Amino acid sequence: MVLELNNISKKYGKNQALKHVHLSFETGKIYGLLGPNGSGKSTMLKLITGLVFPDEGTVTLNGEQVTRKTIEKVAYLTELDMFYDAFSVGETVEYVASQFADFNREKASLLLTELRLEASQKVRSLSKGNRGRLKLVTTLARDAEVILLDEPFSGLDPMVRDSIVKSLLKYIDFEHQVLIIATHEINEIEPLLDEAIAIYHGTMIGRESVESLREEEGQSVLQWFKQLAIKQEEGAQ
Amino acid sequence: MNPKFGLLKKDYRISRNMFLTWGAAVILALIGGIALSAYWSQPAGTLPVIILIGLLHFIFAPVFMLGLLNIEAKTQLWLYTPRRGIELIFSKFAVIFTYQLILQMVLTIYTAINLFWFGRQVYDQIGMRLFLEAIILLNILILLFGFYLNSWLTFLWTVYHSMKNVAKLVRWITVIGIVIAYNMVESLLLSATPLRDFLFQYQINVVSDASLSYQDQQWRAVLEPAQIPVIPLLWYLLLFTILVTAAARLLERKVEV
Amino acid sequence: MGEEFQASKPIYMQIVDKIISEIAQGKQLPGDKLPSVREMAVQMGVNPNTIQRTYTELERMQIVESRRGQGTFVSENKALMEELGRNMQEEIMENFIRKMEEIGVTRDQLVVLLQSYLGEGK
Repeated sequence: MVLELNNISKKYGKNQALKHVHLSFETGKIYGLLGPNGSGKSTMLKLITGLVFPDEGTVTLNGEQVTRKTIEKVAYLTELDMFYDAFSVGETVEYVASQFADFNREKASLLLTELRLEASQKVRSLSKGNRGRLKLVTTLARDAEVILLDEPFSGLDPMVRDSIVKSLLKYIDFEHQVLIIATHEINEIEPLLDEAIAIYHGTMIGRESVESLREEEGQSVLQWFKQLAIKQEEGAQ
Repeated sequence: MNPKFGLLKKDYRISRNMFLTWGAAVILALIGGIALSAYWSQPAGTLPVIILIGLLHFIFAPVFMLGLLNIEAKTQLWLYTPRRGIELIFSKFAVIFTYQLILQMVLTIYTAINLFWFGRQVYDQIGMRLFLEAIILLNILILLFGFYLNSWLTFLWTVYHSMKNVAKLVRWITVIGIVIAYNMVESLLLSATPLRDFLFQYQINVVSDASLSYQDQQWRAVLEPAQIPVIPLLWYLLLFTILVTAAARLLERKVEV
Repeated sequence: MGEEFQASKPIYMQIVDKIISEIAQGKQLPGDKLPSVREMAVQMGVNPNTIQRTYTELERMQIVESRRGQGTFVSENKALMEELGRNMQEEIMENFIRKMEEIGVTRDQLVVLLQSYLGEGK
């Protein structure tokens, strides 16, 4: 699996969401797309999924340009609280299962049990934490080549985070999948990452292996990110 | 589960409450019609109810489609699937079609009850065969017209949602502009006499004109035949195909989440 | 997350330290099987590649050995394990002495302080 963003730019009205982004990802790694809210991380994930289209540049998955159909190979967890409210937990899983050939029912039911979700529960009446968990179940249960998580921990308490991290590590198939996590919670995510990609105001300002940052620079990812952001601000002035 | 069936099930599920509400309102209106007519001893009083509910179902499909599309627009969750745009649209059409069929069936039975039983003294009595012929044609007509409007609505909705980056006012102007432009072209073409003659060359007869007349202190329901031109029907069928195809393409390539 | 990590030291090394300290404390005995890379990653809430590095490092230090198809085991080399214990003691002692010296306590004072502290502790 090769996933590439070539010279991607994207505008929303007057707001430049992404500026000339070049990036590539490969199987077997966990990447962190790091940056404050509104820095363009979500747009990047949607571009990879084929849910939005670039103004400039191309996104390719295994050499093929990304279209609406690409979602077949990409499991995307949105940061938004998005469900069909009329559905129960079971119906939600059923619907996603019907739409994706790579949906692994066995994984789904394991995940449901582990995250303590009942098939009969109404989505409408779930707590925020449980809605976050349900989103994760429908995303991780897919044997997709690419798994994208947009702020998977935001607004969830530490217990839920912990259970989510554990499920992630347990169910990702590192031989066939790549995991890309977009988040502004840099410290929390650091131990999970192979590579950190710093996004700031729609530009990629840095990319490093997490362990070599620590080994060679003696820096945590957050320290590194702050340094880059300051440099970027100074350069802009 | 087959993905198309999954879509259908989802669309059915998210629209069920809307349908039940509409259905309940229609049934209440029908019962109310009989009740009031019986109370005033004017059995023909059900005719306005039939006509009104019938007319309402000309716009049932687009109104319902708008409701369904707006549920989706809140999240655009329906686009998070590899299904083609046309499948997404037809799934909704199929669900609405069944709903409309059920409602029209109810209305048909109601009409029959009024014609042959409750209001048989005041309704023009036509034979069962003629009634069936007329009512089937009428039902098809309502469905066709409803889905013709529906294709317009779907197309315009996708146009509106393709322009996420554009100011709301501009989006509305574009949508309304398209409608006005089409109507202008259509009436311009129709003003050419030879073309109009050609279009209205073939007609089918349908008993569809119903009116009330007042005789001997009682309202009577009069049923008369009307004519439907064939060629425009074909044109609208073509237009339907074009609009839906365009909507599907926009959905796949332009509408972003 | 499962564990908290210091900012400056590589995470895999922090886990190396943690495992060594567990061995020194006797929580892991010679010959014990360590969890698989995946299990350990889940337990610690870290990237599996990091655990892979931890295990490689431990193997290089001869603290563990991996047996083909069976997993990773704590070394049964007694002498090495004892040395490990001594190394840890030394490291802790060095740290302690350095810190005391930093606040101006001489080595002679340190001995007296320690004796009186331990005496009181009884």
